[in-house]
Amino acid sequence: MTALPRHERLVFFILLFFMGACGQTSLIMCSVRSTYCVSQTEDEKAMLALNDGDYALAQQILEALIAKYPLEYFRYPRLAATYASEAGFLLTNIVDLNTSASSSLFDQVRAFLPTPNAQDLGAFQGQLKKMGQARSLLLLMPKIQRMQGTSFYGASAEFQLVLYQFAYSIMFLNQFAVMTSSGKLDPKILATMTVADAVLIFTNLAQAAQYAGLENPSFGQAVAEVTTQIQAKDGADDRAKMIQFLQTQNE
Amino acid sequence: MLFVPKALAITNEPLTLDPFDLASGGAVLTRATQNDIPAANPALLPYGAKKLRWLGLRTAFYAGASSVTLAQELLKDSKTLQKQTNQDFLNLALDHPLHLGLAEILSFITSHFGLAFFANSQPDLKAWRNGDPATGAGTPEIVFHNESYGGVLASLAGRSPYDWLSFGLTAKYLLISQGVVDLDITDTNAVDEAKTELSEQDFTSPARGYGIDAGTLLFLQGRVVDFRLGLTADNIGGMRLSKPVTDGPTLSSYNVGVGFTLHGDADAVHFAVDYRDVTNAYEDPLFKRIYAGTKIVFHRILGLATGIYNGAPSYGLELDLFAIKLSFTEYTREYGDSPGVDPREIYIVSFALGTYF
Repeated sequence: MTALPRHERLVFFILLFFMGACGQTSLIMCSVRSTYCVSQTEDEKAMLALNDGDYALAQQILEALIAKYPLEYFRYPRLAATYASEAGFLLTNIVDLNTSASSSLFDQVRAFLPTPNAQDLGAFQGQLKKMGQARSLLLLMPKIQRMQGTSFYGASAEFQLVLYQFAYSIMFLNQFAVMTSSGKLDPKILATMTVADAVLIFTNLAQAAQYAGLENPSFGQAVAEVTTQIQAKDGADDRAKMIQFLQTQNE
Repeated sequence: MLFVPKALAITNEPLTLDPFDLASGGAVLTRATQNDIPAANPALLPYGAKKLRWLGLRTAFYAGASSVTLAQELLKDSKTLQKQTNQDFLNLALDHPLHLGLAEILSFITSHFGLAFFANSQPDLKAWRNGDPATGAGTPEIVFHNESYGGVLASLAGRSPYDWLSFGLTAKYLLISQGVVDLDITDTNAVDEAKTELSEQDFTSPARGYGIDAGTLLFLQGRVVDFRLGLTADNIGGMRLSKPVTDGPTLSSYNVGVGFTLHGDADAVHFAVDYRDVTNAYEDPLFKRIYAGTKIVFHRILGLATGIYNGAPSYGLELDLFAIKLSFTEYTREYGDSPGVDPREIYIVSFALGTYF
């Protein structure tokens, strides 16, 4: 076999060099999600984790970023959504909300919130705490930062606050509505409600109406209806009326 | 609320990209399918066996892999569909971004002149459970964007006093229509803004513009191995546009590519790497400016290709049956600013009818 002329050998070796130089730093060797050449940002990782349902990872990344950059408010509604998801509240459920339906908005939202399980009351308390965190985080934002039209995240933050406060109110109420195996409310759990708890429930509902404001009248109206229903119950005090309301709701 | 993320528009890559070239990573500065030479590098024209090269029409159909799955779901029996709730439909949409496309190019290519009329459009619809990674705020979001390009490319090229050096120019007249609708479902103003965006004719009245590209090719041909170095300058002096284009292939940019070919009498293996937009005029991330790949051609009938496009593998094959060319390509286009953020796995089926001279 005749040897290649010198210049062709040179080109051939250059060719081999480029083939061999790929190695660990080439795009070809880079994995999809995190490459030697270029990596996803922490914000991208957090949002992908949130969309994929990996809430623990999303929470870890977002909490660290917020601690580092507390004035970058776009991360607050993202983390709030993460907490709400961990509380068992999936935002995609709002596609089923129908403000003109025969059932009240209260009942519709209540239908896709987690309910306490008699076998594991601690789990529900954990979810309630997460929902409270979601609401509280959004309240840390300056009001102008969670207003529609001020930023790409303002409308979402505003809506999430209304929704999470509303959901928190319902969940706080529901923590006393534990069903027994016979399908009735557990009277022992119901009896643990104190007067202070009842006052807190009304306070939460009032806050839900406040945050709903003029922008989300359906939620304000739903809160008003529930408050009226509770106040209309027979009972010596708010606690008694609240218990009656829960018993009526779960009949 | 409405914006055009840079990542969504075709910026640094050529206006037309043959599916088989795309299968080999989209590296076309040093070797390209005949009908795409005017857009790739006009200096490629003088290199070839015959004076008259190609006259024909190529049509390519694009479909996202998830779109195919979505179509299969929707074509299920009607009873199953009727039982599905709003949530079921929403989950179907969330899990399957919709991506379709159509591209056509009618071209006449000779050893010194090329003329191409082209049109391509690729609408894309994606729904996010908790918002787009770049612009989302935790709430469901729908992002729709469309890129439509059309126009005419006319190229002239010739070799310098040296056989191994050629120069070329491409004059182009373009119609560019692109826009993005980004709907966060919690934003009650979003629908009104979307209507405003549409009424401002981003989709229905394209921007018109003309510009000039230039290219050069250094071609060292050996008995077994060829080496090529290609340089192009796109939109020299900028593009003259009838109205502003937020993102699109309109900036002045410079591209460099190298290629090697191992060849026999009828078979060849091509390796090519392009580094586009060297000065980063479009501010694209690095992984979107590097194109690399390999083509293997057997007896000028069967071609196999593989490459890296947008940092992800691409594959394809082509059957060249003289008057008819069929090709199939699979590649991944990244709509995000980092690999794996918002990828679309896309299939292309292409059919070309024409004649070599």
